[in-house]
Amino acid sequence: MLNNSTLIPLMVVLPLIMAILVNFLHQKDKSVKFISIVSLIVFVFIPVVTLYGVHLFSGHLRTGSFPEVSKILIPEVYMGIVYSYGAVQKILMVVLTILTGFSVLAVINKKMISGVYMAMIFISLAASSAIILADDIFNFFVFTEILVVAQAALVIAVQEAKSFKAAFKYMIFGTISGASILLGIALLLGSYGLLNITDLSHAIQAGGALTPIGLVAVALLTLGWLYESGLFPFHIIKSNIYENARPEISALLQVQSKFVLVAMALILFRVFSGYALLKSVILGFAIFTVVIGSVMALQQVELRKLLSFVAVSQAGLVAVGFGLGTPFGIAAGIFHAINDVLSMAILFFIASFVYDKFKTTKLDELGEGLQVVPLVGFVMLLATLAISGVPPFNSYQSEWRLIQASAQAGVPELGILVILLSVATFVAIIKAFYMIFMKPGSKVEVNKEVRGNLTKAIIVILILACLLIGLFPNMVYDPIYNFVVSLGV
Amino acid sequence: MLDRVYEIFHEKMKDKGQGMGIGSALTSEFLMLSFLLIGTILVLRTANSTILGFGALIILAGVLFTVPTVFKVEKENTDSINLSSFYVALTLALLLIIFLGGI
Amino acid sequence: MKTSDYQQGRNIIAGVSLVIASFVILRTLFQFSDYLIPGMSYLYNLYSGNIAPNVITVILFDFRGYDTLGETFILITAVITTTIVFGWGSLKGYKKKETPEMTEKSTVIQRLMAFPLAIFLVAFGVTIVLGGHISPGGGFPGGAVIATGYFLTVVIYGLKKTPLRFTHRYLVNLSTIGALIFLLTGVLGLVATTYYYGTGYYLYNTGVDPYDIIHVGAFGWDNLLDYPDPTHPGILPYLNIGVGLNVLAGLSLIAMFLMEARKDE
Repeated sequence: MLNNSTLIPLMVVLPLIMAILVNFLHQKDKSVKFISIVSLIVFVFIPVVTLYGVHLFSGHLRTGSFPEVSKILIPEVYMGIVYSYGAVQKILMVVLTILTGFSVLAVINKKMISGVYMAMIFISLAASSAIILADDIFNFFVFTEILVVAQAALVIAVQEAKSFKAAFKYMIFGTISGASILLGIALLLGSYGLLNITDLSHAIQAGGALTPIGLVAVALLTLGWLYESGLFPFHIIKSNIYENARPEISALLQVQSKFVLVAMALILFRVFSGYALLKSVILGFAIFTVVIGSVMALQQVELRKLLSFVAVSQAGLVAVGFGLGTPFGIAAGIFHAINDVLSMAILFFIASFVYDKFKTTKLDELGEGLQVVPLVGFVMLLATLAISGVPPFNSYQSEWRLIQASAQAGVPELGILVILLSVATFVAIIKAFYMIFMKPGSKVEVNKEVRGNLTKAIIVILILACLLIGLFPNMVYDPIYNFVVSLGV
Repeated sequence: MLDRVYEIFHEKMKDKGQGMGIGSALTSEFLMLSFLLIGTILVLRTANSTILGFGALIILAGVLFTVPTVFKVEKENTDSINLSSFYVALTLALLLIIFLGGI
Repeated sequence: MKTSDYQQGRNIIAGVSLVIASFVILRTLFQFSDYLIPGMSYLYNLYSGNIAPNVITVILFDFRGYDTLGETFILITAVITTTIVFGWGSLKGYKKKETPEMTEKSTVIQRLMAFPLAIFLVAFGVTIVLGGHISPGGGFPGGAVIATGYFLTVVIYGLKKTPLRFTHRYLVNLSTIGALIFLLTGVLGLVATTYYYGTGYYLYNTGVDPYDIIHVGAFGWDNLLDYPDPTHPGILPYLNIGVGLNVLAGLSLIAMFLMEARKDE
């Protein structure tokens, strides 16, 4: 049993407190700016100093003294809500807080300071942290709901007809997925009497084969997972959200949904460990999303839309790792999630820069950008190489591990598919690169006032991070692999 | 058919972008076809069920007769909420059937 | 929108899928009673007696207090989202609209009855909030009842002439105070347990001290944040008050924005 670690709740509670404060100080731009920057430093700092362990909320301990009448199948249960913090959570939290920091800095730099908007960013940060940390299935559900509403609010704040539509659709399907997750949780609670994920997985193993009730719960939770991570039937809705938010916020949204994908897939695999059909189904949806996402990305003539479909298809690639179901595959999937959010964030920041500098992201109208902003063009080329898995960048390491894992799992065909898909991703983004930076005959005016030094700094830092992880992959990968093995899924 | 595939795409994409657009459409077409081929091989090799194998073969045959597939895929993935709801309903039923029926 | 045969076929397929899905789910719920076990809820019922008389409040604010924090934040997020929809805090800035005059006059009976009724509703809501730990109710229903009172007066008298005149700023302040009461009570539990016990528990009930780990009472003063009441429910009433303020402010804020937007169409 792990020790109680005091600082874990602060990762969720501090962003919430700060969100309340910046919402309170709305229209007082200087205070909002000051509080945001100070709290960001704190947010990045907390995950680093927090010790590994669990946190028992309200101090309710693990107990073994309960009567037979309760019919609980295992000898000891957690009484209250529990959060757990391990190596994977630490890595995910650090990446999440740093990328949130970059997005917030970009927002502040563009003079879009609005306390309410900042509050929504902080609430979505808190919700995704809670989802990553939660070891309690109902608490997980509560925070997914907050995340959905907060993300919709971030899109609504753009105040254009398209963004309203996208957010509205996102909320409508959010109700469907929320209802199905909640019903799944209710069925599990009714038939096993537990909400803690660790306990629930032990109880389900002790209870033998899944009952029909349990099977329905699996189906409903899987539907919710597909929505939260933007896989096949929901890929349009997710890409719509990415497309219609401000690009620097899309960089944040894709991080959140990929990490939610990882967290919820881990929950599903822990609760229903040993249920092989779930893995095959996840694999099927993942492959389908990857293919459809890249096919759609190849067709687009608008940078933001193109990038949002690439983001969706890369989420599918993360899910492929989970679908393989071996510890090696799952670790490769998580590793790919981390690598991919970094390179995807670079591309979205570049989109934000292009949007500010040229006032449009339509590829037909853009051109000759390399003469205007050579640095950004160069970084975009590097990011394209990074996201399509070219050594020495980070995605190469994770895609290579994915291919190896698929060969080990006895499905080498998937390896071929992964290679094909990285080629397709490369073609899609290099097309955008050519059309923005090299194509002769530009039809847009260059906004001389936009210098974008901060965006340039951010993308250079991120590409260096990609390079660093690509050169020393074991620094990140080994803790993930050990963690996944220790979960025993 | 393969010898004049470029002409077919050129014809189909008259109103859209030329050159690069056709190139990327062709890439995605080959991606779709290879995905279907690999998917069918995968299903035939790993799935134990005869129905699933036959189903995969039939789908593959059906798709191969209707190339180019890219435009159909694009039409199925518009922003319309009707299409999304249709696929969501289908997915919900499919998940329940798969998990409870256990193909 | 025209419906082609192709789309008709799709509608039928979607309909059949939904029928299958709802049949399976309803059948599952029908069979559910055979599999139902008491589980955790039995344990909660067993142990909650020594914290406060109302078991539901104890489950809501003590055993699963942190979930309730999340639910409060769902409400806060939803309220802020609604305000963003109306332009408050959006990236394009908020244009203050003129408060519309009432176009339809309300009748004499409505005007006569609404204010006393609203006073009654507010008083009733306060009772529900404050009595949450001993009787059915608590922050959520109490706050909703108070907000109903506000909504009633706003609908009858209009935003300008309503006797319960809240400004936007005031409601935001109220909601902030409510949320901060909840969040900081939790932080207090964290700090107190860390100080007295070595390891911290967020939202620890410092007033009741159910696991006897902070022993503040032994030093001659009362436990931290013990609600002065014969049942000694600890921090639960404070959390109820926080949630109550929050719900009241949030719902009233939505009502206010809806009333302001009335004339737009």
